Amino acid sequence: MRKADLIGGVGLFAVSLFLIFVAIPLETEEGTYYGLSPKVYPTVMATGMALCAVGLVIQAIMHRRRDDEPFPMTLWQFAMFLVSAVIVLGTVLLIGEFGIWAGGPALIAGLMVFLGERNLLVIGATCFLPAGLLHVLATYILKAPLP
Amino acid sequence: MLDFLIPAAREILTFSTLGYILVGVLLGYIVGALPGMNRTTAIALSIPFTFTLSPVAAISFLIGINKGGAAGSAVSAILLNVPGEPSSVVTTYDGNPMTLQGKSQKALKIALFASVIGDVFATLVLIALAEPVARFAIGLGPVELASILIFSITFIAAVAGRSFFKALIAGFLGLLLAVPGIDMETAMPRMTFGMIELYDGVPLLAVAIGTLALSEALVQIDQGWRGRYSHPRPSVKADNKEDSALSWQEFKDVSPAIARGSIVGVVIGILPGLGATLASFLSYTWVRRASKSPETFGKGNPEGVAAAESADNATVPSSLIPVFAIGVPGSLSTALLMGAFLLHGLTPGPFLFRDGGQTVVGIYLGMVMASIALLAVGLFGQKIFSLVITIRESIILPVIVFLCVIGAYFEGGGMFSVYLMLVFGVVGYFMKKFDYSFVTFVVGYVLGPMSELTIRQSIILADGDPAILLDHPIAIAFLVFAVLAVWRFAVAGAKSLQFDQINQPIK
Repeated sequence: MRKADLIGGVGLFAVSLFLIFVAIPLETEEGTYYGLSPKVYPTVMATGMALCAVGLVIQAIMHRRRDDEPFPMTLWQFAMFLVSAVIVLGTVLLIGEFGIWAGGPALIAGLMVFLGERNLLVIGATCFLPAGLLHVLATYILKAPLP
Repeated sequence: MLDFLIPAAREILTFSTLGYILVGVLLGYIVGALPGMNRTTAIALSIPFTFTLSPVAAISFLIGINKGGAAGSAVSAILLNVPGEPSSVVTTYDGNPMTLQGKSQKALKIALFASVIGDVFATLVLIALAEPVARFAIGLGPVELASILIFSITFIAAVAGRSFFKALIAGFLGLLLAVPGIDMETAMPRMTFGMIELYDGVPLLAVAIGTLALSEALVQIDQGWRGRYSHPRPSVKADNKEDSALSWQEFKDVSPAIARGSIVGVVIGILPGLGATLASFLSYTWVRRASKSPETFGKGNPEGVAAAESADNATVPSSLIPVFAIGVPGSLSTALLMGAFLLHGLTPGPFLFRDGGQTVVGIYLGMVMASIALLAVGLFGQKIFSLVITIRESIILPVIVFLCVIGAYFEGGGMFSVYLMLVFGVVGYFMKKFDYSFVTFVVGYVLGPMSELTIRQSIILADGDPAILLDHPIAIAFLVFAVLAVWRFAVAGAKSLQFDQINQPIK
């Protein structure tokens, strides 16, 4: 975990610096307040995060001899994550554009094929059944809008 | 309290509310039984479907999922040697050897009765303790509340993960996530990046569904690519009736283990961050040490199953004591339940008893009904659940991802919430991979507004003088506890020892 902690610590330190010096000052309108500026609380939290990130990096460097655990993610897993993320994002965009009847079955079918399912009957039933049930549930019971 | 009993009973004892509770328990049982799925995923995904329910029915439904999930996780632990949830790891030690001996039905029945008894006992403790604690908590001011929140988050960070720094980073991230929106004092937008959708804050469901449900599905998808999942079909057939039935004498034999497990579960459940996994582990250790034949543990001793499962289920109601009494959640599921309370217009904490007595009594009754439903579902559904756990992940995971998308949409905000949920899904994926604590993250996010409010109020009260703390001994005590927790669990290294022990089976 040492390498992962090093990367994570450095990354999170950068995120906290971005929050302290960019996001909080530029994206907060102070207005009229009594007591504490609305910038102080998030700045303190981001500073706490920065200090912990530094602590994590120091810990990872000092404990290098205990580096017996492999990196938590292989390159192959990362590639598979990217493929699944692309399938999800693409079909969610379809849902946003054309509704659940277009994107929903595509999302389920895409992931099923990715996970190794080849039985067309199973894929077909699994694709349309949840979308149909949700349609009935949202329209007639919850009376909630669907995309 | 008793004044509210009859109106609350009228609200609970309706066909629809009882139906929702039954569906909640059933859903929780199924999700708990499925290896890799967990009850927090089920709760996060179910919250959007409760918007049209009354608060009492909605909370009872979600607590039903929580209870069902805790009990259902024993099914795959016993039949497949694959725990449905981490808290059922200990159940595999003796549960699966019983299955290999042809006693799977007996093991399932012991697990069910232990779960129900632990659950009922802890529900009664909740009913007895929550109101007196709330009556005490109502006198606490912002200084005390701020110190309690600091203690809770620090304590959870100290015990919730392998690395104290990573857990605390997750806590800070959660607290920061609660910042965007309209500032409570100045009414000016803060960290909204010009997005009007963030004026009400980062939506709860986008965070909960993304980090808990979608991330879990993504982690499992990258592990199970191209159908690498395979479970042997479980056997629930017993060689003879004696091996499947649970006799009165056998029940009496495991009763002390159930009692010990229930006590451990209640105590651990009340403390923030410790969780059901530690409870079942400690309970198992205690029962094994107290046994006259400790060498039989790990080889199919029914007491081992009873100890683990009673403790696991007892943590569910007892973890709600701090939520009801102070408004401070100590676990993932209670943080989600607290979020559900807020979405339904209820503010957990001492004022809930004063302003919503009937609602509280209604939820108590709902919990009792959920315990009864747990027994019924467990007794009649054993064979169905043993089949459910054989459903392939290649079917379940895509449906879960689809439900994540629709669930995030239901909260309102249109596709913006869905895209935000996807972002948190990716964040949660990397948090899981790199072992950052979800408990501190979600608890920090849920407690963020209360934390900021109490800290700002305390600073206004102090008027720049830190000596004000001397007038608040309770606040000092909690700050000292926070420092001690950091020392005991993080600095002194006791925590790593404790987690190493949990991860290793006792044989």
